[in-house]
Amino acid sequence: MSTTHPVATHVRPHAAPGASTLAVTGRVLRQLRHDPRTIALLLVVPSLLLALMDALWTEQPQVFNRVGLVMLAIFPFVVMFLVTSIAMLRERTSGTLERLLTTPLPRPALLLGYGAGFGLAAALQAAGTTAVGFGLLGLQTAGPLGWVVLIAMVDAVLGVALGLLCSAFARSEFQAVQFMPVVVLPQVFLCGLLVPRDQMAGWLQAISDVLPLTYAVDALQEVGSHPAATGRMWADLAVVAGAAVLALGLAPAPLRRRTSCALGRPGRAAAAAPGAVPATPTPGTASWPRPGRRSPSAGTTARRSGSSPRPRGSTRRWCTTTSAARKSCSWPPSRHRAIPTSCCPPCSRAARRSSVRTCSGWCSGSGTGRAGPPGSR
Amino acid sequence: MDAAVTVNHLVVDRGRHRVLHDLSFQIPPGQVTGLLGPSGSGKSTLMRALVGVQVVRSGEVTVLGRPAGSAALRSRVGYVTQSPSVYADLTVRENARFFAALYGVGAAAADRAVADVGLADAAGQLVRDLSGGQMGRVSLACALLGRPEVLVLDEPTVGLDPVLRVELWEQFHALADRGTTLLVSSHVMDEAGRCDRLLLLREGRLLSDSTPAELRARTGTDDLEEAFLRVVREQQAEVAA
Repeated sequence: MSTTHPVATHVRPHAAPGASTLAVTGRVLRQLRHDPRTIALLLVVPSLLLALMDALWTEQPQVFNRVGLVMLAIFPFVVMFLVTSIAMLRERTSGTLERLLTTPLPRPALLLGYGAGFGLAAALQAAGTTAVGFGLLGLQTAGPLGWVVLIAMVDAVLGVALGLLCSAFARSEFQAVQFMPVVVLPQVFLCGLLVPRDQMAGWLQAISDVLPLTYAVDALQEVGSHPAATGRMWADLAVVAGAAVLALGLAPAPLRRRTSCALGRPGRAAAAAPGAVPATPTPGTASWPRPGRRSPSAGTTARRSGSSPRPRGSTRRWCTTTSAARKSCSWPPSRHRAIPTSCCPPCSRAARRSSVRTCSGWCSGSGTGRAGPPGSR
Repeated sequence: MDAAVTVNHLVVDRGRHRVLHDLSFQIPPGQVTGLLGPSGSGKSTLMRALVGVQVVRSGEVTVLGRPAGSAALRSRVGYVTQSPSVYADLTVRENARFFAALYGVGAAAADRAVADVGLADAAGQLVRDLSGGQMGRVSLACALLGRPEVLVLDEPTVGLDPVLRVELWEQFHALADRGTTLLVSSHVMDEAGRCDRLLLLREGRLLSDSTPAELRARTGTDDLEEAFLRVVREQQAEVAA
């Protein structure tokens, strides 16, 4: 029985990338639709909080005007961050993420679909909060309301993008919720709401300069004080949008499939014929295979350090540990040539520590989990 | 005949624990292969390795001539996890249509798949309101949508009533007759007789790779459960010797 299988020649149906993004967006919105309470909370809570602030500063309407406007940037950012990171985490814990990764859905399409779905929800929220703030609570800006809604929307998309990125680092809901104070609150403190930015210490200003929420708040303040859109407002908006795109761009990396180097690298593994796979340590013999036994010349003369560790003739059979990792290995170079890296205890330990790719030889054919950090592709 | 799945010296560790010990076997195409063994024997881990979502220590897994998990296989290999991985806050139909969109097949195909697993009446219900067995079938329907050439099913019949179980097995064989390769895991030995081929797994080691008839002949019993026990004892005797 041969081990190869003819590659199917018929064309299989494939969703276009745009179509699968739309499918994800539709799914996210449908999930929201089945959860009316969440929709109600999304739409009502920011307006209620705004009304609470209005009541707080009844005597000082100019303070409410300043703080309320900034809140229009902060609410959608915070809410969308939380909602998205929890939604993505649920996807991970329910096993649907793993399932999605076995479908033809590209990871960027998944994230874009999420971004679009929750972005749309955020747009509704921003429109609602703005309507309440300006219609009922007497908020005032010099510039048109349309800009306020636009800024709030872009800001919400930033929240979605950061939420997606952070959820990749959370293993449980508890952790995901903790990311909110870590990622969101410093941005709120330093955005110029509590203390005007020009009154902050220099180093705090420097931090504030690299936090994207600062620019969303600044853009809103521009609208608040200028009747027409200013260049500064557009620049601010571009920074916020850029930060969202950057976060969305980084988010797919941690979403990787849990695969080892060999299984995840089709070219390599396919190149090695099954016959070329050296015998693994058989289950009965728990000891490491003796170095040098299979390659009589290997043990006799140690090559000078730094020379190509790949032996002549049988390329890709023996350990081709990178010289960097090999220097930290207590075994002489000659021994490396005679064994697979996974069987060299010092090397495999070093590989785990430094996550250096140590092995390109044997693992190309048979795969060693030690060749890279878990999940490396 | 080319094997649909070839596993060569597969070793998988989870933490410090070795889950799979140097497994090597092949799965012939167009058949229902049963993967049987007690819980904790490594069935799920092996299946995860076949679909390429498991980090392996060493060894080689080839599916349809390609390394497991490679991008080209994603539309050719279907995988149904043990716990139903579908969206609980969507209806059955919405779940199926979502996965149909990902595989690029139409809504009609989604509705057909839902009907195929006997859930046409429940299509408009939210998945979270379904029973465990029904959820599992939603999960199965979503996997069938991609018309996979290899279908890996992790305990698909757990919690199903006997009638439905028989229906599902008939469906598996219908799929196999159309050329699909199925790997079905189970810890219920009475399902073993329904498979074209049996892999017996225990404590991460492959005890037997044969047809049910061969296994019966080798162990001299018609009862597959008894046959499994005899194989286990045989192996223990070998280890002791």
